[in-house]
Amino acid sequence: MHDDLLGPSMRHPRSMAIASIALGSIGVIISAVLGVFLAPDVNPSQWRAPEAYRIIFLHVPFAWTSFLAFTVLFFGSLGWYLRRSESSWRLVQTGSDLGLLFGFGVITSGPIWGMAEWGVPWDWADLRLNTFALLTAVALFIVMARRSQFDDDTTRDTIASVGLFGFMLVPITAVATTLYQKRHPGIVIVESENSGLDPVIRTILLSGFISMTFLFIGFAMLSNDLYAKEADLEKELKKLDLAEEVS
Amino acid sequence: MHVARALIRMVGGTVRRGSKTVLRELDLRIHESEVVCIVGDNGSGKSTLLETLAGLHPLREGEIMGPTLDGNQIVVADSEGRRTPLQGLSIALQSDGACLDETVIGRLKMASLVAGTEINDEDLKQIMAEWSIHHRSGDRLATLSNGLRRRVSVLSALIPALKSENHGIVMLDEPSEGMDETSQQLLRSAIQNLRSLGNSVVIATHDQSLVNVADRVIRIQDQTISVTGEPPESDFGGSLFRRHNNDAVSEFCRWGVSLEWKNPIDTIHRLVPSIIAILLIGSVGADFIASDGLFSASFYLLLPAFISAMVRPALIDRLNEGRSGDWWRAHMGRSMRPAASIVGSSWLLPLPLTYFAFIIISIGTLDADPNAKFWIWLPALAIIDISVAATGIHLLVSGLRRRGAVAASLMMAVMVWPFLMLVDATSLILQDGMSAKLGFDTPLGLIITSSIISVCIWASSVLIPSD
Repeated sequence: MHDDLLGPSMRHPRSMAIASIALGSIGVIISAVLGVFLAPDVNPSQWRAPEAYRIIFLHVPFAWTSFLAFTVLFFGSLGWYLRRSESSWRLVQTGSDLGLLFGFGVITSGPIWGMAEWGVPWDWADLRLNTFALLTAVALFIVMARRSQFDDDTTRDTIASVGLFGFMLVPITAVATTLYQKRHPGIVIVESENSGLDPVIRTILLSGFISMTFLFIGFAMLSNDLYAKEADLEKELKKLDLAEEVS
Repeated sequence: MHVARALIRMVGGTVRRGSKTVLRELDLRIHESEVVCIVGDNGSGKSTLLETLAGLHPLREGEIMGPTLDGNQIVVADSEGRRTPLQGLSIALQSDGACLDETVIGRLKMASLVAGTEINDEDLKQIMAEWSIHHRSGDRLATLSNGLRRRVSVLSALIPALKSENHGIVMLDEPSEGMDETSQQLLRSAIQNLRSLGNSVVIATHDQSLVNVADRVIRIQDQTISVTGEPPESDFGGSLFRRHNNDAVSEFCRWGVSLEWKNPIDTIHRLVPSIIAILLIGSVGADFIASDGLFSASFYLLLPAFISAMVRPALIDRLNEGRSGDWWRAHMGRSMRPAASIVGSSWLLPLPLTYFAFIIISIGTLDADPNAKFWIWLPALAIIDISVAATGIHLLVSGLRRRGAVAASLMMAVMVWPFLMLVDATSLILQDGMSAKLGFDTPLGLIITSSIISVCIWASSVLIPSD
């Protein structure tokens, strides 16, 4: 009955999700390969490790999709907190899983580049790196808590609180890193005002963005579908439990 | 005589535990001068209903109204969360609700004070003698048998109501469990006494002898309730309602400090890694640290105190023991988490640890301002703010049932910035001594900024209610 209400394209969300993941994965691989072999070199006078810049073809799309995942996590947490709806909880599940996955991509690729370019893997005065790290840690906490705790309202309330707390840390981190940077200026990357991005670099970067977005959408659809089915399965199992108890 | 007024009203209450709806759209009234027993099979939701009325479980739907001191009713909990503690409540949870380091007499006195009744020693001794626990009055609960502990737990709910001139609400979860026949007889007598004093008594029980003294019986089956009996008649309508002790927060603070005094496990948990850090600093060599500059020396100077501030407070384990945290939550409501984050923090250690580290580092050729040693207490004190914020984060996740399986430390990275600012402040103090000037390039300005950031983190962690 429920499926009949959906259009033909929505009847098989899992197939669409897998198609999106396949498309995204291929695109990400192609973008990475093009980034390594086709993208032009940058001006060596402006960079300490000019070759290392190529990691941006993964790092920046990772940052974009993890931002999307953290947004999903935030709205899921807020939704559960205010309305305790199952759809909001699925957003928390999906947002935390994907936030961890893509956030991990950001905070591992970032230090690799940082080590080559800055000479240090981490800069406590860099707002973006630190914010992503904090939110990835919050996502990791939520994923671990979801897996280890009993799935009840109390657990969900606490996890939603942690989700909201994580986002309250963002402005605090912004102020803290900005103030800290005043005394310890971060490593400034010299960029020429008139050069802009090379068209090839821009095209490969755009391709990486689009591919990673496809990957994100595919994972999000798949995750949402799986968690919805998992909830249905749990309901059926509960009925079986009751039937067993009665018999 | 008239029909007694309702002290607690649940309207359309729906409560879930896990994926199971335990109570569905319940309407219920508990009247003054009434004994109500909640009965049902194991797992039917007796304790859940009692604890929900006490504000310990979130409502999925509906609301609970409680009395105000002037006889009106206010919402104490609804589906949007807990609003306010139930006035005039004293409660005995099934799992006692006490930490086992408490003494018998300490527990009874403190529980009475929290519920709004001050009891003198003579009366307390008399009650303890009646209940045959006077010979154990100075003993810790950990040394008592389960039956004796149960007596103490039930008494801590009965005494505030029995010894108060004003009436209130008493909630007892399986009070007769583990009691001998004499104690059970005393319990039944006390319950009848409470009713005659105008109190509402709500009991979740399997014990038929307690059901026999009830005015009404609520039977829970398949998420719904059936009620037998009629509300009593009463002439207590104009009498005063017992109010909670407004100083419940200070009682809680006293409780936390006294437990640490009896068993200083929190201090040891914090001290051991910090001392190890200081010894390691000593092993690295004071000359080596001094040669690396004042920033590096300041970092090592504050590191042991910072480590002590990050440790998971022992208070969390104390609040988990026997669900004593839930007992406090029933009486304090939402003010409990902010209070616990302050009580459970490291207050004493940052100062001595910082000076200890300073002595170790000063053994080398540290080129510091001669007056620096008179001022490094200031950044050391600011570490207390970091500790309070860290405790707030630990408490934020302490509501999860499998506490051993969560990693609050994942959110501690945010503490790095206030710490680094204190390191900066300390390096300025070591370099030029203390200055009263304000600004981001002055020690005072950096210390204040660090404290403000810590307070913001603390406020974020304790002001988002978990229900």
